Parts: sequence; C-alpha cells; structure tokens
Amino acid sequence: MAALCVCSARQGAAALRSSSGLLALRYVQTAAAAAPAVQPRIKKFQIYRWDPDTPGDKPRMQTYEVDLNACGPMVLDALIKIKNEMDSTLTFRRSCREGICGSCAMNINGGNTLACLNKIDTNISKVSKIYPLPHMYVVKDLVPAYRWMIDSRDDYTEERLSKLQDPFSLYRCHTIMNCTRTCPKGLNPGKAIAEIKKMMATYKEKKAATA
Amino acid sequence: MGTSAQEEMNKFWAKNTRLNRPMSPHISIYRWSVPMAMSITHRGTGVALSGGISVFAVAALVLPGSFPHYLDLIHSLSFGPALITLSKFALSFPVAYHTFNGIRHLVWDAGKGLKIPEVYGSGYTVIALTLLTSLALTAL
Repeated sequence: MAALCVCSARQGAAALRSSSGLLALRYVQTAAAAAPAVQPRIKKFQIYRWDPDTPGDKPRMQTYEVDLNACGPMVLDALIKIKNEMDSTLTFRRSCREGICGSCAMNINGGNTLACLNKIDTNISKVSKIYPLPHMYVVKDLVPAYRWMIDSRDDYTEERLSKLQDPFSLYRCHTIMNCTRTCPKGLNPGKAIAEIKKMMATYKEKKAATA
Repeated sequence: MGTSAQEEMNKFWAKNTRLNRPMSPHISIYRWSVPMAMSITHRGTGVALSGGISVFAVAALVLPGSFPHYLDLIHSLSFGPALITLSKFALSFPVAYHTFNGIRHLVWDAGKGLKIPEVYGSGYTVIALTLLTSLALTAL
C-alpha cells in the first residue's frame, strides 16, 4: 500500500518500466526506513560581525545554525560551512587547518585559540560564541589588524636585554598566566618571561664584571 | 634603510583611527578563571591596604585629637556584634590574602611553580590559608 502511495507521489514514476520502478521503490522504502534514526543535531553559532564597507555599520552578533551531523568536528569546519552554504560575506583568516600557521586565531567561548584545533562543543543546548582576538582593531568580522612587531632577530643578546630595561615592556607582565592557560600549542610563555626577568637581574652584574 | 620602528607604529595608529575601526571586545567577553580572579584580587587588596595605611598615616599627622581619644570615640559608638565581626573580617581578609598570594608571587619570581596545574594548586592553597587565617583573626 505504501509503495503505491510513493509511486503516485513521484513525478516521472509513471514513465518507469514496472521492474526498475519496483527496484526504485524498494530503495526509497529502505532509505526511508533508515532515515528517521538520525536526527539533525543543530548547533547555534553566535558570531561577531562588522562590515567596514557598510557606512555607519555597528559591530553586532549574528546567529547561524549548523547541523553537526553534516559538519567537521572543529570550529573552523563550521565557519567554512557557514561561509560556503549560508553566508558568503562571513570573513575570517585561515590557512594550514592543522594548528601550525596561526592564521585562524580567534576568541571562542571566551578563550583565545585556533579555530582549526578547537573542537565544537557537541552540547547543542549551548550557543558557541565566536569573537575576534580581544582588544585589537577589527579589519572585518573576525579579522584583527596586527601590528608589525620589532624584530629582535637582528640584535644581539645584551642589546636585546637592555631594550627591555624600561617600565613599559618586559615589566608589564604581572604573571597573570592567562597566556600559558590559553596557548593552543601547549607552550608556556609565562615561564619564559619569568626566566627573562631573572636574566635581567643578572645581566647588569655581567656588564659590571666585563667593564 | 626604510621606515623606523617608531614611524611604522605611528602609521599603524594613524591608519586605524582614520578608518574608524572598532576595537574588539575584551573584558566583556573573556572567560574568567580562578588564576585570573586571584590576580585582580591581589591588586585590589594591595590598593586597599596601601590606601588604608596612607589614610591612617595622614590622619595620625593631621587630626587634632590623640589616638586614645579616637579609640574611646569608637568604643562609645554602639556597633552590633554582626557589624564588629564583619569589620574584623574586612580588615583581616586583605592582609591574609595579599600576604599568602604575595609569597606565591615570590615563588613565581624565582621561576618556580609556573606550570598550569601548579598555578591552580598553589592558588587553591592560598585561598584555603587565607580563609583559615582571616576567620581565625576574626574570632580573636
């Protein structure tokens, strides 16, 4: 009975010969039997948006819904899916997609990480919040403006250390340890800076010794 | 030679101001953590203690009456026991917290205890010691 209903609902089914028509109906029946077992898992993504080309535009949050059953496990997969299928104006940086280049650095659910390494929280009752890296000028959507840092590779150790001997650079570190806590590559910049501070304490003694 | 670092920096600020680019949100969106909260509490208790001692010092220099006079004045005020206990805790908590967390900072300055599990472990230890000490001092 159900087979007959399907047959009449499908346009062009009348054109099928009876044997191939029956095969097609059988496939549709088994597919229909399998489909109800998989429910779509809809996850909401709340993403920071700002368009420099729209005059007077203010930063705002836009919510997108993604079926996690049809999406890769990482936040970057979701962003790419949204850009490809829902909103091609969503702008973000990405490159290696394997956690080595640093292009997709952004703030996900309150922590700074790489979108390509951050697994989507599969709890669909929670919204995933995505912001650009905090306290940076926004070029567009999730893209921050980076400042060209002074390259210390063209200086020697003593000169480098003496450049830090002022209240504004090295000693601006107050050992809050957010850096190490958030590092997506497991590095410890907090410890490294503490070691540099120790080096600063002994460097002047060395200079006095050589003088 | 090209542009100096200073010139590059000025160009950066000028360009971003000119384009009216917004600043990405920070304190409103960043996820709070125990080490982060402990760090700002250390600063808060430090300012409170420093400010309190300065006010006390200036008062000692400027106020006309003697210390026993002001002590009797405070005794004559009818404070309820709840308010007295609260005031004692409000005084002892910053002293205890800042002292114990200060030791934690000195350990960090020596380069020790800077792995994340150690930061959390020492942090909870400071909180426990602070509560014990300030409650003990309040009970005196």
